Amino acid sequence: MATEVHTDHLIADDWSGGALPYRVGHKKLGMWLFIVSDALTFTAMLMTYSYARYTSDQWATPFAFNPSILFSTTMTLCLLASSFTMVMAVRASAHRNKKVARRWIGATMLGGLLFLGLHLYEWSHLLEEGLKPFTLPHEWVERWPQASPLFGASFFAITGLHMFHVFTGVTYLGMVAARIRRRTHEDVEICGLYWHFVDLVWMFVFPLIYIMSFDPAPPTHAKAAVGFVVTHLFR
Amino acid sequence: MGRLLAVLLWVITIASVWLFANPRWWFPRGITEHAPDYDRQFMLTIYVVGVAFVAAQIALGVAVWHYSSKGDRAERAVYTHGNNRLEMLWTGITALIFIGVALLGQRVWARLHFYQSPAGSAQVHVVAQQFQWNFHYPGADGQFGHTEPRLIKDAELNFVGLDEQDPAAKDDQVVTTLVIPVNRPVELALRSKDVTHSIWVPETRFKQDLVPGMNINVHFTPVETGKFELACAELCGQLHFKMKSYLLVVPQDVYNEMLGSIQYLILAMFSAFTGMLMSLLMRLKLTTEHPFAFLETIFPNGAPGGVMTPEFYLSLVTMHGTMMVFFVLTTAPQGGFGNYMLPIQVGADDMAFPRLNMLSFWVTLVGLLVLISAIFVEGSTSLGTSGFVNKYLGGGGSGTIGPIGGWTGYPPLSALGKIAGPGQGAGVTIWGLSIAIFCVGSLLGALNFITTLLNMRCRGMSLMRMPLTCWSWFTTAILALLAFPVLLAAIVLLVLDRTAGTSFFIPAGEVVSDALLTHKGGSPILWQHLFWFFGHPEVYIAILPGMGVTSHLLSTFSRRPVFGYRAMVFAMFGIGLLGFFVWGHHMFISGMSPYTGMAFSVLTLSIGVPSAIKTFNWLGTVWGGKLRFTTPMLFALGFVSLFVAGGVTGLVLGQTTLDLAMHDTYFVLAHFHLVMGVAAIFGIFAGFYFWFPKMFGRMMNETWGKVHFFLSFIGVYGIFMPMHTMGVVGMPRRYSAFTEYAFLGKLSPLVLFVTVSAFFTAAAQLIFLFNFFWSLKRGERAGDNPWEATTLEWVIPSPPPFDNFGGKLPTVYRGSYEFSVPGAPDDFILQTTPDEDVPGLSHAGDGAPATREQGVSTGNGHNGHH
Repeated sequence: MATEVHTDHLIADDWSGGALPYRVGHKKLGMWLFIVSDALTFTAMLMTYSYARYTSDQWATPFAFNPSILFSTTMTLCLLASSFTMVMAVRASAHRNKKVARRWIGATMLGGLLFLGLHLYEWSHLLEEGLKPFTLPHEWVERWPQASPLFGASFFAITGLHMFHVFTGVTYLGMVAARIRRRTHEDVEICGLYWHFVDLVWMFVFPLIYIMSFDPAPPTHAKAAVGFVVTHLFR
Repeated sequence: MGRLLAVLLWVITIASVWLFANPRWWFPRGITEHAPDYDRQFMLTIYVVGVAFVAAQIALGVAVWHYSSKGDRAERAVYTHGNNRLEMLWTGITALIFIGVALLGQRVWARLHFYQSPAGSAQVHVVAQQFQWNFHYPGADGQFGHTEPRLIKDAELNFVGLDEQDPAAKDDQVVTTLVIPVNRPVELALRSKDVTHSIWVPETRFKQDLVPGMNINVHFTPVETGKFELACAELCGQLHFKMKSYLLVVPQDVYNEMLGSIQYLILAMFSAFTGMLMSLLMRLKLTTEHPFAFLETIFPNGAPGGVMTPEFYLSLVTMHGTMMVFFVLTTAPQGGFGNYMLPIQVGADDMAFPRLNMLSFWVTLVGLLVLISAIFVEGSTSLGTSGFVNKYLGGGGSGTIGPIGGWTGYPPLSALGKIAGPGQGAGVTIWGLSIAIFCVGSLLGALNFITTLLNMRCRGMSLMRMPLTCWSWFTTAILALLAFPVLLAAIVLLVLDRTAGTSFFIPAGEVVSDALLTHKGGSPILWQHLFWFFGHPEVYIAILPGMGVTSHLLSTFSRRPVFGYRAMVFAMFGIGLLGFFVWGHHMFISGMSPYTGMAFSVLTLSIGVPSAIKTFNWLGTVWGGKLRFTTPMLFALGFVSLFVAGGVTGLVLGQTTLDLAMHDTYFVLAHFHLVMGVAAIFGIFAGFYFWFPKMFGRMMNETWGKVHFFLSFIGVYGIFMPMHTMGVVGMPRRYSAFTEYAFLGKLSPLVLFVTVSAFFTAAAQLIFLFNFFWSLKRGERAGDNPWEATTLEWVIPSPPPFDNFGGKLPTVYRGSYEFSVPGAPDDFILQTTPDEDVPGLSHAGDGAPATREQGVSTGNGHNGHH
């Protein structure tokens, strides 16, 4: 009898054992820890980029407002929208409405896939223009003769790592959505955590990689060179 | 047993002191203006360190001599949970001394690095390359000629790319000997053509890295004339050990004469001959030096004729370091004991993610297999030159057994690929992939540990009631979670540099093997920052589990509660936290800003404070105990001794000034091998002997265990103590032979002694292997609790059931170390025993279950509780 009384006391205190101190299950705590760790990987990458940029004599700033910044802003909007749909998915799941949750997750995946598609389109254009991990396009070298070739290296490494995370995220969301009836609400929340984290990383990548490389006075022919489709889209 | 150990401790102490007091193995006489100050600071530090070392060893000896258990079960140790005033006193005093020493240790450094060289300094440009020193003098006009990397042509003896068209270049001289005037400040402008080198003359008490892509200006003032040997102190490739030159300090008039008269061509020819002689000497070594036929049988490429090639030697260095640090010191204490014991000790039926647990194990194993594959890809010519290896891995078959960059893998050496020499092709690529895989495995493991510990503690197991082993695994997991992702990013970037043509770590203007590389924009120092941000916490990842096991065993076998349990926990977290802010102490001479170095230095020495707290508390735990000298206890005591011996020299190396001479010498080698190598291994052995009965249901043989301990203990001191003085003499790390330098010649008896000790220690480990297999089959049957310990693993059968507690999770009523409680019938109380089951318990404080009011402060947290 005495032991049972003790038991009540013990559970009442989150930290003295036999309880979940943060009131979250193992998987959710595990995901938070993974996010902390993964954030450090991105931090190291972005520190490398900052270090390279800071120590270089010159850094190319080739992203004109139209089309580059507009294009990457569109990509950003896709991701932000997918974060919103993810919030809706978690909300629906909290109301035990799994069908609706699945639909919202589908929308989130669509946002992610759209982002991936646009991103790959952008990559192919930059590659075509002559930006490689080890060298800059001729036109850029003419405009910024001392510019570091690490522009391409850091651009492809960082956005590539992020793209890999988006791809993993879409796959993960697909796995949760496919068997949503067997998934608990916490499972939906956890994949939401991951998805929001991937978006958050982009919120650092976008200003640091794109906006900081904004070109205020692009030469006129540059517009034709990068993404004429988008140029037409925004006219 | 206690008396034997005590005497041994004192003998080792006396021998160590003798080694340091012996003037035969000491610094060569200093010849620079700052040398006397350097020596004074070194002596001051050595006295502080020596007093700490001697005091701790003597105290440990007195404790084990005096407090031996008589074997009488009725005897009781002194029951106390520590003493707050004592805790504050020794923390305060240590902090004061350490910070004081740290501040004093910045003076010479600041004088050398914070001021421009005075007007009228003699100017020399130093250009290092694999494996030659070039010293470029301005000539009579005092103007350096224009140099251009694309003009470099070793074959035409234009080693620095001097532009013949430039009029200022006409009278310039490039020689391979450094000649400087006496009593006049000398300014050296240091550059490197290919990989990172380091200029080192022991007599100058000065050392500086030459980093490709950087122009580092340093200055000092020689005050004595003479001829001194000049060595390279940063691993730069297979002939690193022969990258020798001379420093000539001459009177001013001789210096002037040299500047005007000696011809560029003659000296350049001289260097060409030296280079040719080098290759002849290499052949000579390969053919005559102590050939062992079996070496050739095993490594036909690495040891042709039975003599190891230097590159073979260096690949051994790298593979040894990588395997020991990653796959032994990180994996065994955490992955091995932690995975097994952590869930049991906190009262959980399994880890939080059992499947993830398996996954992280397999990932780690794959990492190891990938690393081992480097041996074959570099060692076998046919495999190394196969299409796949050539196309995707950068080509192998160089006759090494892996890369030759050391476990730190500094670029550019590690980033350039096959062009940089043997072992730099597939070897480094595979090494990088292996570490990347290892990072992922460690991350998953760490995540699992933290979740298990936070979420799965059984009822009553508050944080402050956990065994200190759990605290150490917890801290280690946090460090791993935060440190490995950074290494992962760094390794990914390094592999990109090697395979995708990026230049994150490769600067512009690299001339390797006469080829001007197209890489530009990168920084070799950046790698060092990223690597050591991981690498320093990694040191604590290796040692912290050992600290946990030692605390646990000292309490168990002294039959006393841990002295200052809370202080132990905070010290452990303090060490972990500070560990993230000290990485720069590996980089003092790397070309990093000297101001940054000073901040890192002070932070580094402050780590000594929590480390000292732990040592004091270990002594406090043993003091007044009733010591039972079982094999695990002996290893735990050995850990304390080794931890102190290896730790105190951190006070030397952590000072910017003293690092000038000590950097990358055998002193460093001795320091980290004692503290993170051998001490950690002793922690692993302690845990192994302690938990063997629990894991396998049988005891290990005690007699053989003790023989194993004593032989190992003597052996490791024999290996690493002499290395300190070797370092003081100036012996650099990672040399495949010491035959090139006269100043290392007198060390040959010590070199032989160390080698004999190493063989001796290795032989002693055979006893352990024998004991292990014999005890598995024939060992005495162990009951549930053969050591009369208190924690949860001793409540369940040996070996434990599959789900640890047989389906019924325990409830915990008290802290982990309730030994010799006054009034209790036995001298230990299990954590699962409620107060009402302990007749005669006189104090009611600790046995109560945790309640909201008492919160986390119940249990061992009663500091100063009597």
